[in-house]
Amino acid sequence: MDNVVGQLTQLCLDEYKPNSKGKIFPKYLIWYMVPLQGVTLMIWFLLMNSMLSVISFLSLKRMRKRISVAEIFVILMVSIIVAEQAQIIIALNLKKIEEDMSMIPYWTTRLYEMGILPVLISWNNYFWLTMNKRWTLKIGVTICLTVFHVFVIWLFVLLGIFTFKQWNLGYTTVLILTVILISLLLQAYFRSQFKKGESL
Amino acid sequence: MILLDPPQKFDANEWFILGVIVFMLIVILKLPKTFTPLFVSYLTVFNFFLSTSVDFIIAAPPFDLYDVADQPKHEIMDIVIYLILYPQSAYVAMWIYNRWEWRGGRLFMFLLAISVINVGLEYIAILFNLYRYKGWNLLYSGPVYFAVWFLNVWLLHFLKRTQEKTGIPFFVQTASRSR
Repeated sequence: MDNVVGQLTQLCLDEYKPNSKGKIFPKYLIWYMVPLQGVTLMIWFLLMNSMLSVISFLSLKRMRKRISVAEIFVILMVSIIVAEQAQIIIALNLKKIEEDMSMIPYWTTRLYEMGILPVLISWNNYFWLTMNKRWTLKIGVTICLTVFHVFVIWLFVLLGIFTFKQWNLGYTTVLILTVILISLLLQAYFRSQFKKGESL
Repeated sequence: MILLDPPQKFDANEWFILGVIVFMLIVILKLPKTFTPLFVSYLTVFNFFLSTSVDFIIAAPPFDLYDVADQPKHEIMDIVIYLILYPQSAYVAMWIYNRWEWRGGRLFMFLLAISVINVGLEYIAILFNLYRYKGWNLLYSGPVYFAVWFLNVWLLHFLKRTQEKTGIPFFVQTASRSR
């Protein structure tokens, strides 16, 4: 068993290229706190991320009590589009964030951006569009989502998946709030159209 | 700080995009109205979602299999393609499908035919320098288009079922027929 884990770790070490500073892993406290090697930790992170993505998608079923599947579907698509566009513009166009393109970090990021984050944004939209006048709940959900996202990005930086260039977590906070707002406005349009149809 | 770059040079590929958009718009306006604005919005979001997700994974690093328009970066013309050109094509294809509603073998032939036409159009687009392959192959596009059109047909049926269940109007003719 140890041999299999060792081989798998070596396989991933070969895959995981050193960053520009020549370091394979950032020397942060986290590596000394956990009894796992960096790459093994990364694999665990990927597995956890996959599992959370599946749970997140399954959680959408609960929304069906109040809104139609077609609306859930459009909430999700809008959230994925906005999250992807934000990432493309920040990382690819403006080059404010350098992303580790090795396979495990890459798919970890994609799973988060296209799996967990859109579902969380969808839940945020759901609360804002269906809970009339419950402002504390709505604002609370948005704050929780923002804090969670900033925490995940901080974790990505800690793991060496993201390297900030003229970027910081303050900008990340502003960006996620902008993404939430755009997604909410687009969703509000669809919500109004759907309600118009339902009332006919 | 420019979020989305304009075209480096307004040349053949930009004129090609605009030409096709105008042509498709004329075709769409000539077609009898079957879909409501809500369906058009939904179809636009769906195809924007499909195209941007596929391109985000295979056309951006680390895979980076092809470039769209003038530069490897995301630019304004990319958004024009995602938001106008692809949904226009989907509109026309779904209009044809909705008119005849083929099943089984005929549906397969329809998907195959429309995918072959798309591959042909992509070949013309390459001649206009709209796509630059960096490891991609025109033949790979065939199955991708087939899957995309299959998903569009699935969406059409899904929205029809939604209209029957909830009354949310996606189709003009179906709504009038049911009354």
